[in-house]
Amino acid sequence: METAQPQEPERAVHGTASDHEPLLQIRGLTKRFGAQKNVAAVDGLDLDVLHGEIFTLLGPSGCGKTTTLRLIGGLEQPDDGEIVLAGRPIVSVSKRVFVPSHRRNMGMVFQSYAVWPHLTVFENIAYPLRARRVRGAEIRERVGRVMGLLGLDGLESRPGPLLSGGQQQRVALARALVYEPGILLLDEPFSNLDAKLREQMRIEVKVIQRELGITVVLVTHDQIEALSLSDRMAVLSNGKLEQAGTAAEVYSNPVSEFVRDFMGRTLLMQAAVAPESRAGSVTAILEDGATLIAGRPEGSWTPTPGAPVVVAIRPEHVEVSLNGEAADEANTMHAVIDTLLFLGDRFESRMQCANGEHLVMSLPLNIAWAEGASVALAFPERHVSIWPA
Amino acid sequence: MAGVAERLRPASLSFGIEAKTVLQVLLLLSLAAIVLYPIYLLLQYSFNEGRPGETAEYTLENWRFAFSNPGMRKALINTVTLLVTREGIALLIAIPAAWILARTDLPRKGLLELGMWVTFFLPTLPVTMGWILLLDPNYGVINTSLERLPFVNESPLNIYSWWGIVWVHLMTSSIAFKVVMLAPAFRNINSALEESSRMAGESAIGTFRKVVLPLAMPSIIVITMIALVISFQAFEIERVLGSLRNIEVFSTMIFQLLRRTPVDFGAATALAAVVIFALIPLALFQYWYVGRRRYTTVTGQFQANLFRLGRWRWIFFGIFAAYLAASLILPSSFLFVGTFMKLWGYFSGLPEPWTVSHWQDVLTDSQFLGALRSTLLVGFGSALLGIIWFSIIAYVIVRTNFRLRLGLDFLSWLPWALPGIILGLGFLWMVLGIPILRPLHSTTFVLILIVTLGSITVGTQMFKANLLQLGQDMEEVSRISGGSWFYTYRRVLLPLMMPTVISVGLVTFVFAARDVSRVALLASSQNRPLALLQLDYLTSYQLEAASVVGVIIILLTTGVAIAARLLGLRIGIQTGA
Repeated sequence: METAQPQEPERAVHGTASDHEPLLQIRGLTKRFGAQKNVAAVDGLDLDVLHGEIFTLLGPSGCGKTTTLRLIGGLEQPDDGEIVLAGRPIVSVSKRVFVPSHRRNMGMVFQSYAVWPHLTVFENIAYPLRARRVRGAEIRERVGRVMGLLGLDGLESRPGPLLSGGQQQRVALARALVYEPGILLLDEPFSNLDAKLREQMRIEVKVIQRELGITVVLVTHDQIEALSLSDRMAVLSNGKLEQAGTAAEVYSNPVSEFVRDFMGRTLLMQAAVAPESRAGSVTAILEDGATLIAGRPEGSWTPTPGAPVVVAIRPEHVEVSLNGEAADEANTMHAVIDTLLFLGDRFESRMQCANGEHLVMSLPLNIAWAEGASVALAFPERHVSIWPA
Repeated sequence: MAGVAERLRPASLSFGIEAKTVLQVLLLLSLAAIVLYPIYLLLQYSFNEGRPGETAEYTLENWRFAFSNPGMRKALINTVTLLVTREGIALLIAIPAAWILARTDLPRKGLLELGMWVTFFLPTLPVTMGWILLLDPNYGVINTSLERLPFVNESPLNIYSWWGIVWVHLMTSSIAFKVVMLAPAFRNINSALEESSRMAGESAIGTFRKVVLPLAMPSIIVITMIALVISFQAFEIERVLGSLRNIEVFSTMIFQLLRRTPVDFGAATALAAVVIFALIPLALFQYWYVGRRRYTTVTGQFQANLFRLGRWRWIFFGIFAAYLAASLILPSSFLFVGTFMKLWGYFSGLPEPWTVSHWQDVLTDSQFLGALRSTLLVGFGSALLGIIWFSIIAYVIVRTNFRLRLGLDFLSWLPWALPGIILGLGFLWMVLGIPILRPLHSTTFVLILIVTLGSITVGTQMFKANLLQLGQDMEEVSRISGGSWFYTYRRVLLPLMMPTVISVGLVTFVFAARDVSRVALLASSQNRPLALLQLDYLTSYQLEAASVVGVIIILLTTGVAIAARLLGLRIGIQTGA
């Protein structure tokens, strides 16, 4: 019965631009908790998830990302806002609509995997099909296919508790995929796996997602996971959207201090705005009197001369050279390597700058770095950004 | 992936009139009708001085009479001191005992746990009679043996005393009840939580105190409260052992009022109402305590490794075995032997004390087969009804945000606070007073309903404790993979709670099979169960025939307990072993 193949039927019904119309639209979504409903876990959230993409909700714990996912899945009821799936509202507080979880045709993998301990692997995966009254022969066929896809062959009669963490996760994923859901929801799916398995599963999920063309909403607090898997992502903080965009956009052009500090590493230095600057850039005077020219004042903010500011740059953009070699005169700082840790494929180092600040960054293996060596740090103008203090 | 919207089924219910809410309200109302309405009738009667049929005359006379009763103050003090002493001792023993039974490599622990269940199921009266035979100051077997010792002059032990009452309570259900109820709570604690405490440098006892005990605390509190409530209405032991030395308690005072001629139901109801009011703060407290935190210990990554006792294994085994010998084997063998005696209690003095005639009399009694049939019907009927009813009530209380769930919780406590005879009376008035219910009068259906109410507190609490420990993700993943609520209930919840389902069914069956007080006023000559047949024999002083029926009831209940246990072992959660 509900065996729709991944195809594109009747899309035109919804209008000409249907392919660009988001599959999932979230508008003004709000969920409050607490006895007096005074703690907003999700606060007026607007998001669009497009067809066939991996969309990631990223943020620190308590930012509301899991609550958002549960609202999408129908496991919580919002206090305000609406969620539209393929042009039809599945939740709308104002229209008093609430489609219960089991009628949303979504798949979900829980952080704990929630593999039922009283059922075998086969019965765990067959469960959604039985709930949809699919015939026995078809169940065997479809469960077999998804078990093959996830490398679970031979485990059919294994009871749930006798699986390793990695196997449990594959079972949970197989169970969520076997009925070809419209959207796959993943709640921190890799957080309980060891590093190697995590990398392997990440790649596997991406491959399966491409193969099936399924739309995925992923929740994670791990930015590597978010950056490597997502087509687009949204960074959340305190239940509010900080920034949405492609991984590259969010990483290289953070629009807020929160996103800047949350995504990757950033070197920050206290400074003040110099009395005069070149057009299109800002000159900042560090505490020891050195000057840095920042090519990118952030957003609509206009620094006034003398105002205290924070100068920011990603460590990977800092050009480090051993002293004596050529270095830019402008935007250069001297430092001493304080600590040098060998990580196999690179060094991890801590620099003691002339002005007393410490900077932590990676160094390549091909230069003979040593603890105590003095180095020159060059800050390319276009990568230096300036923020209100 | 288009076509998603096409596959959404259309019935999107609105927030306001969700079918779920309607069902929850119906559940509450039906329970309120069968619990509150009889109580309302009783309370009305307690204020009414007029005899039935006469014009109503509302006064406080019954209440004044009940509380000005001489000895009332002393009875209240006795009730509290007895209760605190025995419940305190029982908790101190039962908590570690339950943990040892559930979480260690104690030898033969399946058998020991079964023994605890059977001890809990034994009818109180025959056990008390067994202890009288052992500890009576004049002819008790233990006393006469001790008196032979050179330094003992007079009989050292007296069963008819304050400590005698405490002792028999401890040997019947006080300890056994708590052990069997707490064992599942300990069993459901993820052993990784204990192991990480051990790794952090805590000793076994420190881990027990700082990790295991706090995790099991919701169950401990609920079970202690159930025990407190039962204590208010358990009266056989106090009645039999306390009357010689005038040790009266609250329940025996109620009993006295019911024994007067004419029966003073009004004053008895007034006393019983006090227990209802005492329940309100208790129910609020446990609701607040359990509700303010989340305890989930069975999740997708459950581990249940056993603690190794080492050389303590057999020492603890010995302690358990000794307790079961004293609480189970000793009194039930006395009861069994009693059925073959010409004169109950007289081991010597008669030339030929043994006979099988009592068994012949009972088994050929024209009422026996009908009573057996009725007991089985009522027992299995209420077990089935109880499992479905209690699990749904517990689910609504624990898992939903239904606004009136506190009321549902309170209603699940009420039937237990009422002495059975009083609840039975309220039921009788309700069935006779409402015309459409009148055809139900003295039907087996009404018997099933009222004996099921007798297990509602413990049954609901057992399901609640289990649900509190069951991770919500287990259900949520079913809902999201397309299972409706009932599908999830049938295929995920009930199977995951199977050990509790079996235990609740068993408790309900046994309570139903041995219930006397609730059914006494409601059964007809057609459907009198075995327990009432036993009461008939007792009141006509056929003690030997009464013990024959007692033995049959014990065999029936232990038979079902053993069968359920074997079944439970097979269909419980499969863990590593």
